[in-house]
Amino acid sequence: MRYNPVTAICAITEDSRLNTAQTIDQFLSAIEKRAYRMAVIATSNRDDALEIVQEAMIKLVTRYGNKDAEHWGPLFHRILQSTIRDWYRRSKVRNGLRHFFFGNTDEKENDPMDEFADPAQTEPDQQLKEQQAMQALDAALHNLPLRQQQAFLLRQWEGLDVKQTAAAMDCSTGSVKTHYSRAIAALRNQLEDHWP
Amino acid sequence: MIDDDTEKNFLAHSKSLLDKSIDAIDTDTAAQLRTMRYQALEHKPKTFNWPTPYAAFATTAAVLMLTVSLWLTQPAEVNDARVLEDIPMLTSGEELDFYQDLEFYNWLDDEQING
Repeated sequence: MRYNPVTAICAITEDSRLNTAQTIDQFLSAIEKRAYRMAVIATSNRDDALEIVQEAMIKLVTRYGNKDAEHWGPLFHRILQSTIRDWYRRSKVRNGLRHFFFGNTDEKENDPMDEFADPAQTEPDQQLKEQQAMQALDAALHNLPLRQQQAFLLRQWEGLDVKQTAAAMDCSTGSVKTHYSRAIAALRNQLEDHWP
Repeated sequence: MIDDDTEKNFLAHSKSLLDKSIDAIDTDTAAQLRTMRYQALEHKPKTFNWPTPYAAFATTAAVLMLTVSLWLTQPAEVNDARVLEDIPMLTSGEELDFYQDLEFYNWLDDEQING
């Protein structure tokens, strides 16, 4: 079953018979894999991505666990994107120092696609094509500037509107529009010729 | 127009790939995410559950009854005048034994007058 953030949150809010712990468990369960994928695209590192998602989950539960369920979606995205930005800043400093002291080590980073299991339902040829397309999309998204990457994933994948995306990214709606259109242009430029 | 359609197709294809990538997350990672979720839920702040209206009404009624019963069974008022009479006696330096035996001295006094 495909996850739809809007319907999932509405369903959670409507079921008032559940207590808050169950409700927040449902919410996190519905969103955790997508959050992980966003973090993987940003970091290209499985462990860092898991750490980011865990931090975001704990922050949401600790700070907003007693708030109404309808606020959790926007709040979680805001926390997640902010945690990713913090990671990005830290890794930039770390990489700068490493480069300064040890030179360009040209270290091969983990390919996030290595961890993906093969979906059993598809034919091998189609499966291979999809896997390649997914790898290409992941690489293209990873190469985007972080703000463009966030704008694209929140608008296009999560289905947030401009205002909600601006709240999650902690920037103006104008910036969201700019980042989003630039992201689409860059992705189309990189991918369109290679996609079926 | 053609470009709009191309962009729409491109975006739809991207979304579809991203959705499929969720199904492709391996079981170890999914299990780790589940464990992390349970750990996060342990951080949930405790909340105070306000009593239902019936419980609130029952509590208020009980407090009211207690107040009324205490008010009705309170000891009789102390006579302020009698308390004031005792003050010089208590504050004087005389032995308290003298006052305790005062009745005896009064009787003795009466006997001497009559005798």
